[in-house]
Amino acid sequence: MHEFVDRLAGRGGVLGAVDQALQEEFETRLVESSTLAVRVAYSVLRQREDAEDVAQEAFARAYRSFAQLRDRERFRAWLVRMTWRLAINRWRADRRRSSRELAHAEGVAPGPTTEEMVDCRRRAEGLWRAIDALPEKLRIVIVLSSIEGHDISEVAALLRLPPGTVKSRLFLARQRLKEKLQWIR
Amino acid sequence: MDQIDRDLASLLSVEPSPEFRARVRARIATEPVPGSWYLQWRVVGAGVATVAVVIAMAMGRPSPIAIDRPALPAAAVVNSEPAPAPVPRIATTAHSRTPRAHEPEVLVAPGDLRGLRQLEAIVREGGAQFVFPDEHVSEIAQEPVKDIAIAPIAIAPIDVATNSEPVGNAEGE
Repeated sequence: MHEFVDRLAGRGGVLGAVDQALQEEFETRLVESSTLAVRVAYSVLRQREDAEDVAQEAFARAYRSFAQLRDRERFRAWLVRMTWRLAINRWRADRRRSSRELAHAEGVAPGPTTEEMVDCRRRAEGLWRAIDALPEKLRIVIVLSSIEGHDISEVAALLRLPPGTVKSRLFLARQRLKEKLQWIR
Repeated sequence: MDQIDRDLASLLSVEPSPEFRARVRARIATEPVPGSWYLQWRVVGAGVATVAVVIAMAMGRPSPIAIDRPALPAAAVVNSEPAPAPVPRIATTAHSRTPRAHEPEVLVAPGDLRGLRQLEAIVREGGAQFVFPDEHVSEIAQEPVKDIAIAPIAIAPIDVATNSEPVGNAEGE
């Protein structure tokens, strides 16, 4: 039995060819989805190194189950949910994290002066704080809609939710963010 | 897209570092190949399921009873010829079924067993038909039912004891 299976799985066997095809497909998914995974993790963790660690773990888990995740949309949806869950778990486990990366706020306005930099940083801090205050189901919707310009149908496909649900959650999330930011400012 | 969306998109526009993909590739290089793992387990699972089904079928099937089938004797061949047309006949059908556990065991004397097996073999192969001529049936049916005569039972009166000895049983005296 083992010999039969090993012969099937060998490099020249039928399963060997299947393995090769699977690995090539996974490489394609890795190239096209790595930015998405890192950004999803970053939206929770706010540190690039931590976000990359979490995204790497999500890709490793996706690789283990890749035979069932060969469809592109299914893979991306699974990857987003897994990355989000791993990031939330990591954030909860490391809740006492004191410093969060805010350096990326410089990209908000090109060529900032010192005064503008301070203003950008303050706005970024307020926005992160407002996002943190959102419930998880609203937070992931607005984060995904802001990553790579996903529209409602794409966010719905990633989260396996009806588009109407995504639309209402997105509206609610934006409304709460506006209220929160007005109050902060 | 309002200001909040622009700010959020800007905050989340982080790119993975150049070595990120290389690290992921190095990480998955230590993992088992997903396809062979998946397909190997499917092959093994199918094999185990097949073995389980075969075992279940073998255990669920009742054990057949070995019956020696003796060669048909000449008398049986003669009996297998069809009877004359005008004579009505009653044919019996032999059902070959295995005895169940709750049915009582039928004990057959060793001397009768051989004959019983021959009869069973003949009936099973359709070589015998049981014929009950009507005249025998009608004779039995036309016989008047006779009353069964039972003689009256005489009971002797009980004698009164004259001495101190206990009264004995009337039948015993």
